[in-house]
Amino acid sequence: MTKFRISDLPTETKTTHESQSKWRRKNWQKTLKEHKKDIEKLLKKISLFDIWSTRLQQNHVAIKLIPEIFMDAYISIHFSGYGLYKYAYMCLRSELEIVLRLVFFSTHPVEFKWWSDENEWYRDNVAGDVWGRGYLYFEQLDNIKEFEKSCDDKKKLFAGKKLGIRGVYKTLSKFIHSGAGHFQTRADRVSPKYDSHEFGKWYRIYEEVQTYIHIIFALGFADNFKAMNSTQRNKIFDTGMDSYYKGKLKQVLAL
Amino acid sequence: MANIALIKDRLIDKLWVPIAVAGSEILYPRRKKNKRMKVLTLTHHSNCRETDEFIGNKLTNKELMVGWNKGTNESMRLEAERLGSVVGPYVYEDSIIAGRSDVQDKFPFDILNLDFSSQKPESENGRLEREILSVEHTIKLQSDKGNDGMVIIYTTLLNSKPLVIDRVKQNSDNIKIQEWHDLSIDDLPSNTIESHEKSRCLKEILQQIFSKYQYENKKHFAPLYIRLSNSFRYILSIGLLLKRS
Repeated sequence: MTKFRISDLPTETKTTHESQSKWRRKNWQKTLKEHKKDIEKLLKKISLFDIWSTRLQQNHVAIKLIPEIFMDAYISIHFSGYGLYKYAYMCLRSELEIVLRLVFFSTHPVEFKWWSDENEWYRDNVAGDVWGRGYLYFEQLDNIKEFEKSCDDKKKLFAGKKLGIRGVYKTLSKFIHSGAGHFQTRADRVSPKYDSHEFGKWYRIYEEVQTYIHIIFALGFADNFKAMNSTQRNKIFDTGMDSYYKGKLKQVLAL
Repeated sequence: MANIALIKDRLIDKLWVPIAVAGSEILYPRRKKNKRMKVLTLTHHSNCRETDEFIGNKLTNKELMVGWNKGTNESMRLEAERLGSVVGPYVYEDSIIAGRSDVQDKFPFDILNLDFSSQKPESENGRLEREILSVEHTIKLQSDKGNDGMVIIYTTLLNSKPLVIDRVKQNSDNIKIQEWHDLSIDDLPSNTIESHEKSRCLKEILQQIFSKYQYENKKHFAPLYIRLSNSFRYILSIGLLLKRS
């Protein structure tokens, strides 16, 4: 293999490489300098997927989807660190979507096979995904139903239009569809730049998404969650969610 | 007394590399330039010097080495820097006991470096018993895949949790092998928390498990037993060169 030399690159590629190397490094260092503790906290949250991976290794859907869930969460941190905030949000929607699909597919092997074969039967639904329209499917699951009943309105996962998973999904979709105010670029600047305010906004949504994901995992795979040893379960409780949700999960799952 | 990073260096220099080199001469005497041994190592990115040492001593090369870490972040780091193949993020014991076919497909190996202390061991009851069960599943898998000889290194953390011998026996006896008389535990304490005693029990049990699959230890290396700084925890490392009797 020939050695990589910047001087060998054609003009446009060389310019792109040089500018990208600079803004990526600068933004990443600035982000880590200002938010190293925040980043560490998020990495600890996504390391919880390792526990789920091990626990669900008899579930062939999980074997396929959990690495992708981890990667979406992991790359979202990278994008944010590079100042690519729009793309950092896009990863989060993908992550959330795959988690919901994992819960659905785990009891729908036929649909999983169709989906694996790239059959898009579900596209006929109005605003639907593999599980059907809206979140009705999840709202029918016993554990989720119980959990929703136990939570205050503002803390329910699916009830509010602007809150919970429904609300956060809507917000994240605005970045996917490039809604007004959800652009990467700004009027005064084209290249990505670290912005403490933007980082803070993304950080809060990131935390919220991870919290919902661990709750969905715990409720969707309740038997596996209950079968964990106390060290693993406490890690998920203490790192993955706040004390309100921890209490509600314990109550609903009789832990 | 030492910290865990220094301990790993000592384990590598005093036991892991010497037994792997000695084993390579017995298992592959005709391979002169490079022994081309297949290696599985449970390791951690903060210190995976054993991989460099195995390569440096011409026992293997990068492509023949499989690393294992139970963390995705750690696995990615290992993958990015050093090894040809990294398995993760699964707990080794769980994967091997569950008989995952994608893991089984990677067997057999010539060097098995089962360093459970590198996998952020939890302080739950039953950890040691599960490690031993996974070692037996590993040996069974090696045997089923036609392996006739290997270097196996078992390294573990000994803390204040007990080793329940009856549980170990029950686990092992559930894996039936023709003409095998079940694990003999008459000389072992039924439940011990004392580290020296646990160390003695583990050595005895491992020997019996290896015999169960008709492997004999062909090279004697003294196990290492090292106390961790400021604690009553120890690292035990046992290395054996096993060949079919």
